[in-house]
Amino acid sequence: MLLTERADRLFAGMTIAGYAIGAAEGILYLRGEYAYLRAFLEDVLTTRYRDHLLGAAILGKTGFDFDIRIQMGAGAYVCGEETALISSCEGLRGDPKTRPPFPAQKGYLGLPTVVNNVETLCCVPKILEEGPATFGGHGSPGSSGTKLLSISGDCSRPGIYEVEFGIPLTEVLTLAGADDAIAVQVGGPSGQLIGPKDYARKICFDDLATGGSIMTFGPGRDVLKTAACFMDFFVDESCGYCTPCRVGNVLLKDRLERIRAGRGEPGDLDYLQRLGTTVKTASRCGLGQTSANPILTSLANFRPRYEEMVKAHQDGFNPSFDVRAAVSEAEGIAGHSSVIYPQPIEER
Amino acid sequence: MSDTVALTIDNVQLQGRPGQTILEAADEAGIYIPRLCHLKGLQPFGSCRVCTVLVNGRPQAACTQPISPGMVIESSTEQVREIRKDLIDMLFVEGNHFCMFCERSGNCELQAMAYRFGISAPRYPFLFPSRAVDASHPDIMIDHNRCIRCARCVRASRDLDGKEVFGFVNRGPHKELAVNAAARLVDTTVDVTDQAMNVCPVGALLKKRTAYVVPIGRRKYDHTPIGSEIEGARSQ
Amino acid sequence: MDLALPASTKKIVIDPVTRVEGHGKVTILLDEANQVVQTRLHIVEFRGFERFIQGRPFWEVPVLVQRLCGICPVSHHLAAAKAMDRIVGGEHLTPTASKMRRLMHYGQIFQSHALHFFHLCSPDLLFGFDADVKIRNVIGVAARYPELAVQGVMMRKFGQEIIKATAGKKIHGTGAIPGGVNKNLSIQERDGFLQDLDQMVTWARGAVGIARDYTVSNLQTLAPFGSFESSHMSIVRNDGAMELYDGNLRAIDAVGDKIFDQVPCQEYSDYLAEEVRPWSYMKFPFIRSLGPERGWYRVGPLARINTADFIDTPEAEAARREFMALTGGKPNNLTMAYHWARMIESLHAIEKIRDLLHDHDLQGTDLVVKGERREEGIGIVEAPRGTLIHHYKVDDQDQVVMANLIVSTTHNNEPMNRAVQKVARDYLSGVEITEGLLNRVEVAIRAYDPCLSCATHALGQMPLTVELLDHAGQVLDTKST
Ligand code: SF4
Ligand code: FES
Repeated sequence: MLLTERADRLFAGMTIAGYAIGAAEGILYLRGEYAYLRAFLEDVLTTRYRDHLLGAAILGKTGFDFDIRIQMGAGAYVCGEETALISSCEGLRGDPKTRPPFPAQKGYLGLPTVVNNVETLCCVPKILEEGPATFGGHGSPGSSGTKLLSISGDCSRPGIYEVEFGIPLTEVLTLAGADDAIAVQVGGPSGQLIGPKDYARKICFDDLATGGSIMTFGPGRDVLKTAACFMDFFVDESCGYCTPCRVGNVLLKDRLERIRAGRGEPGDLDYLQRLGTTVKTASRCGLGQTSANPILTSLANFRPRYEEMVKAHQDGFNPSFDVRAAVSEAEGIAGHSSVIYPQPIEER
Repeated sequence: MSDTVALTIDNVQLQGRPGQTILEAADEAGIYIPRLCHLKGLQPFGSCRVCTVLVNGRPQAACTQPISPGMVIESSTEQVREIRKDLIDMLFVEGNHFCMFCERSGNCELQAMAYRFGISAPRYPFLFPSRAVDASHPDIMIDHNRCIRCARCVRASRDLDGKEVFGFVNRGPHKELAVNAAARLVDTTVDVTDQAMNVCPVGALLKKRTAYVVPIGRRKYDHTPIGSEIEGARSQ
Repeated sequence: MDLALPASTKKIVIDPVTRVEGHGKVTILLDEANQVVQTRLHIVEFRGFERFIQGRPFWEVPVLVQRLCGICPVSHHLAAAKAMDRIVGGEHLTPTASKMRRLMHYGQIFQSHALHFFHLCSPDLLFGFDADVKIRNVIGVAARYPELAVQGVMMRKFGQEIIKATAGKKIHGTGAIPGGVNKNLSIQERDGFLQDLDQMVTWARGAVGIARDYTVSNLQTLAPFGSFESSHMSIVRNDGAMELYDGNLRAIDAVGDKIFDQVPCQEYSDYLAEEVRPWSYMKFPFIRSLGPERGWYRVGPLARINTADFIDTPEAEAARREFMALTGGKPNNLTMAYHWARMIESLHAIEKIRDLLHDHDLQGTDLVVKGERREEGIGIVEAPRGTLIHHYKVDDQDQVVMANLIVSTTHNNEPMNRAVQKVARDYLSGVEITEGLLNRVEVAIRAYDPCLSCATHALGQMPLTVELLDHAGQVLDTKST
């Protein structure tokens, strides 16, 4: 939305940032899904060049040179991670880089680089125009200004809302028409899945931090399914570079699916907790470090739902796999049905 | 800049040199930090995460993290050991590692690491992926079943042999080693005398017809655990 | 799944606690007059290996296939290594290599026969078939005949140490590699063995005595027990001597006439074929010239003593003569004579070990040879339980494209079925499975030492289910040990 409606302000923010750090080049990284915006954005840039707001000696000021180009990406989620984004700009695989060095030391093509998101850069001209006091007058201590929230899911008024930092989640839910939400995912897949007992918490950096995404889930939704969908997402989006994220997410997902299929056992909850913690602790970049959150936060906030799925069977015997399915491949090779686990006669 | 950097690893005080990684400083001090993707002489890569340590309480990969003054590093605490065990387990279940008949058994760093950590069976379920063997080359073979995506061969071929024979393709769980040719090893410029042929920590990149020539009892890790060469330096 | 199964198998009831490996099941089918018409021994021996091996590099196979078995891995190791010798054109091994392999093999025969005789079978022999299973097990033997139990353990250990010194580990080692071996025997290792050698020979001699006395003094009962006339097959040396590691195939009929002789191993499939029967996982091999109906044969210790013209070690040869005298020099067809034959082989093995240990070639350093590369290799050895055939094809990228393994339990499949049938006919009365019948079925199967008996009998429990079906396939009775 900022790109479509405030592109000019974004580019102004980038230019100011360039001036501040003494950079001569800016890159807008546009993921593949937004390719349709490219022509429009190029137009905005052309206009700014024409108006001497970009190019050599901006507004006649010698030495203030700044160019902006648009870099198209293919749309991998991990390319939102700053070092992966830089790799992608460089024409490499969109893998995160090893840090240190940090981008501010060695970034794009080995040069010092500052990476910021569109919303941050759009704030810059506002602050300069209206003064820091006005900006600081909005929001809560430690989280100045306003925040754009993209609210979706089970709500009667989905959309993009600008709210002051510090707003309690309940108010947000009321705005969007989601008062009956049984669960809310704050901060996208890598954020947290929270339940009603936490709705009084505030949207701000030190409480419920979010890049802007709020997804609401109404009555009738299953939080385990929600968590499973997000785990699917991370399995797909992992770049595969480091062990914990590449393997751990698959294992987390598999065990969650087993629980959902009714073949869980009580020990599975500790299993998920331990595995999730390792993935979080040992992963190389932000994606992996947050990829276990769908499970870890749903486990913390919706534990009874998990417990219900993994309770011990009355006979004390929780079958964790389907023996018929397990022997079927061997039967195929042998050309016989299993003698020990024969198929029920009606299936033959 | 002073020419030493003071830090502590597991309550041992040591002096590193500026520009060293935690792992390099530890090695010099005779403290072994377990590692799989890292190999002395190659650029640090940081993919296996087995070298994870806590630096002032925060997890970092020792093979890529430079030292800085006053770092307080935990490497052999219970918490860190458990993380490493998980990572080793993950590497086992991710591939098809049949140590019982693998020709690298006894010389394999992954197996030796599992022994060092007292792992007899992984706690995670095997994923049993279906992976190929590329035996097209007359003297070299890749058994993808055992590749742990450490990129040692990638780095050695690129940086030591100047060839770039190996690279990775695909993402996430599907990430795999590939060769820089249509699809097969035989079409590349790889040669059995390449340095890349000596770096694989497991039984994935192999010289053909050299299997089991060293009898049990004389293999690299038959008598001393992995890491003892570094720990040995300390006691001397 | 649409599998056409005979009606009777639909009635199978299997104890749900049984496991896939090591479990045998017997069905006995009656006719309308309640006479035994057929018995079937179902051994759930799943052969995924042949498929699993495909695509693996050939040098891995001798180590890989050992995992088929925890009791006789060395046999698989050596049979595969011999096949791979041919792949690398290295079948003419150096003296050091061939003697190291032989030493390994005799060590294996010695330890396996000791295990089989002392741990698995001696309870039947010492206590009688009808003794309570609570006593009729290795623990019972240890209590009543402690010195025998100790001998069994020590003999097995000696064989295992030989294996360790030649293969690197007691089970699943790596000693044999295509075209040779990876180590020789150090003087130190040799001297260690020499210390215990005499004791081993003495015990092996004693064991032959026990088996002989038992057989001779119970001949009345044993002669008909599970017995039937059959052909016999094994490898033999060029001169007709008993040979366990490397020779040519010989088969004789029930009276000792040769069916084929001195057939090179590479040509086995011209003489033997395999038949699949729908009710069993196992294949049924047969001698081509006799056809599937009549072409079945026995392998293992009994067959080897029958096929050999002589044994090339003096004490075992003397024992062999005594054995053959019982049947007037004709082949011995007694199922229960397997035990005696087995102990004669055990004596032969320790005599061979003695000769080898005194041979300085074992300290040689020339370990591997190779020659012209081939695409196909067949390796045959006489494993403790009988002839073991490994057959591979390897492509020009060194990957296995075909593997066929015929193990001794497979060769003995039909004979074991016959033995069980004989026992059923002789001991079934009425339509009920008595303890006595159950025990006897077990004893007959155990004479052959199929792998299924290994798994758990050491603790007094052979996993066996016997089921009695009437002519309509209705289950009349089921009993498990
Ligand atoms: S083949 Fe070996 S060296 Fe290369 S990435 Fe795989 S495990 Fe590492
Ligand atoms: S050794 Fe450091 S990440 Fe692999």
